[in-house]
Amino acid sequence: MDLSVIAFWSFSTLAVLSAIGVVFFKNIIYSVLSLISTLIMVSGLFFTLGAELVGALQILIYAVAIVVFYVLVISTVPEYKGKAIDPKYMLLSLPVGFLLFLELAYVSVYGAWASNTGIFKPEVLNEIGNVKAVSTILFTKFLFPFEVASLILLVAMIGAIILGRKEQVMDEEEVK
Amino acid sequence: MSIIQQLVSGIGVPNFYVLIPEIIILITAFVVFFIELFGKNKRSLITWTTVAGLSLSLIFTFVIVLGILNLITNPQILAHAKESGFYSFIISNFFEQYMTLFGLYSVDIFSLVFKVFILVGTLFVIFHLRSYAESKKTYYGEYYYLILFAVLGMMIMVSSPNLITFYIGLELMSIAVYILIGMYRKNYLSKEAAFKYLIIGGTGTAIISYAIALIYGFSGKFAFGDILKTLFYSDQTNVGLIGGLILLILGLALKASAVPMHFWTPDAYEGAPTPITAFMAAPVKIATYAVILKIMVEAFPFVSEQWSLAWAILAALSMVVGNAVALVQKNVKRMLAYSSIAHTGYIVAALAAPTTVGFAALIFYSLIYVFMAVGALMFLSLFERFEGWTNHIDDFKGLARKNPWMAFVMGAFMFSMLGIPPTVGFMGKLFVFLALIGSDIWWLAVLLVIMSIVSAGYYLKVVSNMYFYDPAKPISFNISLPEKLSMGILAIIVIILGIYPTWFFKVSTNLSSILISTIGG
Repeated sequence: MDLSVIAFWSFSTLAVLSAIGVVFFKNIIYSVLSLISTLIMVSGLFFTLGAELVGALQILIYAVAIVVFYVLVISTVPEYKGKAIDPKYMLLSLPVGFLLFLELAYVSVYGAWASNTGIFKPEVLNEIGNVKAVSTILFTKFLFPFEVASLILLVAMIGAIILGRKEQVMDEEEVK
Repeated sequence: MSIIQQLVSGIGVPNFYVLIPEIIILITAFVVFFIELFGKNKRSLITWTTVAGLSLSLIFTFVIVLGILNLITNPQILAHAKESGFYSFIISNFFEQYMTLFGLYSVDIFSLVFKVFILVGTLFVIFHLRSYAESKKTYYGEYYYLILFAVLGMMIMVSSPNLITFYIGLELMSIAVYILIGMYRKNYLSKEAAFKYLIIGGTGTAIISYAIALIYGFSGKFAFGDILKTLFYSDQTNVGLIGGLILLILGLALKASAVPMHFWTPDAYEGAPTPITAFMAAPVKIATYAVILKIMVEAFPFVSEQWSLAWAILAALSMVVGNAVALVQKNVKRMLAYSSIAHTGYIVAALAAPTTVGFAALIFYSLIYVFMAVGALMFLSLFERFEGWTNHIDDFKGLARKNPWMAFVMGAFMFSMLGIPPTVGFMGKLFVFLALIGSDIWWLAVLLVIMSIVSAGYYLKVVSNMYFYDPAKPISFNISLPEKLSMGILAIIVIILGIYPTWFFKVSTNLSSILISTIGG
């Protein structure tokens, strides 16, 4: 058996098992740990598919940055609020989840999508690798949205500071 | 030469000349930011820097418009183009320089006209912002540069030839607006409104990004022109196209607050500081309408039957629900929020008729809507400063006796929103009505007329309260001369355009034919 096939099956089995764990663990800490495990396994899947950039970003952004936020939130929430409640939303979530499953199955089985036909032909990609290809297109053609995204982050940061800072009593004399 | 150098060798330097208005806005935003941080006695300095930046940007927008008009009407170029027989080819060659940043930013007459109106609307808002914020003790210098960032986002949005640029502009605008709503900091309603709009608006942008992903999956392209070409050569029942288009329309309808995605609108409009409500109701709204029109016409003209039906249904629902709920409102600010939902209905109704006339009606109505919306909400913002004024409908009683000029001004805006000649609102509704009849969409045209009559119930109530009642509350108003003048200018624009709409209508007809001519290219 090929090594990549073994890697695929082990990564995907572990990903599914930990995803089940996220849903069914009663303890919220176990849930978050399984979430990290799922995300790392999915990034492993990306690596086996040859998308090393997406895999690395998956670990960096999801498994590290976003899950740290979850842990921070859990550590500030009192324990009794983190307890599992009776799953009354299960009835609603099942059909929606099933719809999503059908959609993804349709896409992956029938391959309904066109693939991009840009300047990066497969042979070029093989030579320079994913990271260089993505960064080349990001810092030339798509430079403008990339730069504006930094403005968005700046505005969001300013907003968080304005809305989050403690109310200072503004005296009219002080300002004038 | 390495392979990457070969790939990017032809990319060149973007033409920054046509980006000058945006660059000025950005620089002004940062200058205001630093003044706000380090300045002393800074309040008037901040206001005047912002006004100067906006005006300078407005002037340069005009300069670029004149440049394009010269190019179109230059006899030498025209003669040369006609002789060679490749008229459209040569003209489009000249316009290549207005497509900058590697095809991700297009500066054309359509986007420039909308930029002018966005900037003018914002100038009126900035003019009244300080006195409102100071009287409510919620003055923060952050208002000014957040507004500038939102304006930048709108400018990016209206001149996007590409789904990515559109999305990034939309996001910049929306995030700045979420924050601006919450700036009335001692007020619980404002916080609730900001949070509500953040959640619902975030859902909207998520829907739009999913739609973009589906459309990219279908066509493999982001640019409107390339999507159109793919659409032309492929079957139009592709699941990616259908799903993407439906989600895109839903997301855009949410941003334009069309029913049934309007739930954020009344709360956000009521909770926000009133000048910010005016900013949301006028510049933000028309940028959204412009981008709706641009995406629908430039990217999906071959499925116009489908999307025109979708917009017709959204428009009909918005008119009915917006007007019906506005009838029972006692608070005029909240009533204007519902009236803005109804106006979304009137404006996108023009998309039900996907013809030159329909697009021209949409452009005309959204351009004139700036003056009405800014005017009516600025009126509230001026009066909210006085002790005892609560925006309740009874507060308007007897206003004509105390302050005849302001009562006349408000009357003009109300009549214009209702659509009674000689105000411009009548012309807007007339053109939408004619466009609908021209395409044989009688049911929507009749609904538009019926709903306009229904809306008289609440607009005329304000007017009759002002003119036919004795003052109920002893509130004293003192409104300074510049404020009276600026409101007067808006009212006079509304009336003059109603008597002489020819020039505006010419502009919108030309814009709509330019928009359609891009489909062939």
